Amino acid sequence: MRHAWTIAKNDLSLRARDRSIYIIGLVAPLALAFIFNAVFGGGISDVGETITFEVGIANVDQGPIGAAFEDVIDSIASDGLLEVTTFDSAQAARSAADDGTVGAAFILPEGLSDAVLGGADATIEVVGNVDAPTTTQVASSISEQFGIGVRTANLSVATAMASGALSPEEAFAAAGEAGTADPAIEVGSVEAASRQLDSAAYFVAGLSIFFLFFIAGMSITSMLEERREGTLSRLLAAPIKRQSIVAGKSLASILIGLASMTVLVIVSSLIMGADWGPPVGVAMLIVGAVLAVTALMIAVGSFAKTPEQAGNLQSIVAVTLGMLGGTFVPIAQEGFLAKLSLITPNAWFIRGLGDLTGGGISAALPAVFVLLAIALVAGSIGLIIAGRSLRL
Amino acid sequence: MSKVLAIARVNLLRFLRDRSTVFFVFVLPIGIVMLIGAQFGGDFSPQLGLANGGGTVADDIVARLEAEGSIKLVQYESEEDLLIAVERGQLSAGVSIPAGMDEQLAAGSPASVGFISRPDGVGPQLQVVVSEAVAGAAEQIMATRFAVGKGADPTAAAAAAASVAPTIPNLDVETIVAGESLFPASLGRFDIGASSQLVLFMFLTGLTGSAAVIQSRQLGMTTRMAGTPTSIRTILAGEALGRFVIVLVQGLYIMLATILIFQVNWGNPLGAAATLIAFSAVGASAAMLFGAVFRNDQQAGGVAIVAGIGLAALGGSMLPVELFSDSLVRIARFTPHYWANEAFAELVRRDANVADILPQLGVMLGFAVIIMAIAAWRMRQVITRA
Repeated sequence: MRHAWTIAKNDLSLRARDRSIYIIGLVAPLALAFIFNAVFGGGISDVGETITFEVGIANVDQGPIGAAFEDVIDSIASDGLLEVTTFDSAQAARSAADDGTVGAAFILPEGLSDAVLGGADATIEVVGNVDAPTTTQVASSISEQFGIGVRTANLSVATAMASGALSPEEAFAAAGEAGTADPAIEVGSVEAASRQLDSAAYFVAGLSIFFLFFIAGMSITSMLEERREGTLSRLLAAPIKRQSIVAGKSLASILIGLASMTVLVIVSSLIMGADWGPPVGVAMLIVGAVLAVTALMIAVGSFAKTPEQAGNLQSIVAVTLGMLGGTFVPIAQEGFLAKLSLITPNAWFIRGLGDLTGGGISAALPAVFVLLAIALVAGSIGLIIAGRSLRL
Repeated sequence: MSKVLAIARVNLLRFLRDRSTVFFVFVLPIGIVMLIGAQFGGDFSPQLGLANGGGTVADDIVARLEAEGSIKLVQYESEEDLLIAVERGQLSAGVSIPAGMDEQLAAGSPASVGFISRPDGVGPQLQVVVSEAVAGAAEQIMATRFAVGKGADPTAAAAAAASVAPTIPNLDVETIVAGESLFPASLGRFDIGASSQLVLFMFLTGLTGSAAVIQSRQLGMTTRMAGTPTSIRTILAGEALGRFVIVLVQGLYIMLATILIFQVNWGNPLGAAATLIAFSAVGASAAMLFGAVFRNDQQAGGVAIVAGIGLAALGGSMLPVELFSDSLVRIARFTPHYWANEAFAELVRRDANVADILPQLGVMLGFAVIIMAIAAWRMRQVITRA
């Protein structure tokens, strides 16, 4: 162990003088996270603020039904969900939806109230802009719900009349009462905590673990470089166990990896306002991620004979796992790709951080265990192969 | 001239013989185009989770939700599973229908359906859809209660509600979609991804290729060439031509591969070729600049990844610029990627020809000339310094 530490210390002081480690460990992930955050800004998956929908309304009806509909829209608008523009004519509303000034427009046609009160079918028109499908969807749902409300009031009055509880004379007055009756089934809102990172933290997490692969890769490449320069033979000739050499080299990478991730978390919360959740949980996940990635890189690199080969193999693995883990292209949350992405330590690291912000430390434990399991399996394979292949 | 070609040829050979080239230049871009196509080609409809306690009213609610074409319903066994799925963002929102709701309603007690959503995202908007389905399923119960409130017998009222319901007029909603889409439906699922990744990878391959320029210097090849009766101008032209061919090979490969594998439409062939050539010139000049500025290839490699991916993201290769904020678009215009992406957008989405994209081509060539001039000036200094 003492030998391992000596080797690690020597490696650390060598690497600290190499400028590229700062580029890979700090500058690159931060710069890219900053750019990604600016470009994707809250647009990634569902992370972001509540959206306000811009709708237009043209009430050509001028009857009680049209007025009731406007009341409904006003009350929804006062909750902040809608931003309403009023138009004088159906044509004006249509062209606003057409050119995208509003996401969708409600058109209450002339004679709507007469038709509904006279017992005939009627139609509310919703014109949606092609690039605002969600607004269109919401507008059409609001109208349909209003339509159901009118229908239910009509049905209530008709039922009361059919069962002899209401005379035709009382019907008109009762319609208003039926229309404002309490719903039989309430829709109660349960607000779920968000187990997702904010976008700044998401990008820093994804990019820091991506670049961590390259830091971790140096453990093996530095051994292969020692072999090429002939210094490995001197190490092997010394009374040091082979495993100590591998351990020392890995230890240096692990320490650099831990330092890089820690600095990134701190810096990103200071300058980008990233929210990481409880520090103890973040620390556990960082340790898990650094061990898992270092072990993977040793396992991958141990198949190589030259530093260039190792570098290439490791970059390929890093980029592939980064891609599947959602570093470059955010992976959809459902479906086959989401399951496939769970073979990567990247995805587990991000999932663990998300669970941590929403569910606390205990919620993040499964992710920590998976990372440690990856570290254990890949590490054992790596140490065996690397230890064996440590020859001249 | 033959010297220029010889230097360029050696550069191309070194590039093709590098084993990692196979992965980073030939496999990775196609993999990413495929990944983007798989993500964005699928339907965009929000997913609504459902934990169903059972019963006739519950089934009616589910049937009404299923009839809603714009959402995708996903069944869950328990409310806890549903809650975690919503929290993780695997679902946009969830609906939990409690068991025994039929009995509750028959007894006249209030019933409640749970709607689970996160405070962010489109979840809250789905509540409207759910409320609509629930209200529709409850109409006869509402009518019966109203009649009973007016003094009718409960059984008779329920029967009356059921028989009257079909005669009640509907207030329907007709939804019309208007306007011209930024991304027409005729656009293949791989089309946007293919052109934006083409731009990203051409530039990235150019920049990472700058390592070769640095190696040429480190190995003393460049100085030795300068020692032969070859002018520095010729050496620079050769190196630059080598970089140009490499970037062009990357671009041509992605273009041909995406045509063959994904049937991607690249628009007017002449326009596509002109864009490819103009952007290859940009990529080559950037590679020369990196090769001239950086002292060792590891540093250049690190910065190349940041610059290659970062400029691509800013230039609209990761998210279309149409979705950018106005201030971000102003920044995007300073990246060559923006102009290449614009050129492809004109060609692919708006059926433009070469004449229509002359402004974009001009800007790209402007970038290439300016960057190349700086690179050449710097390179001349570096080579002639002992």
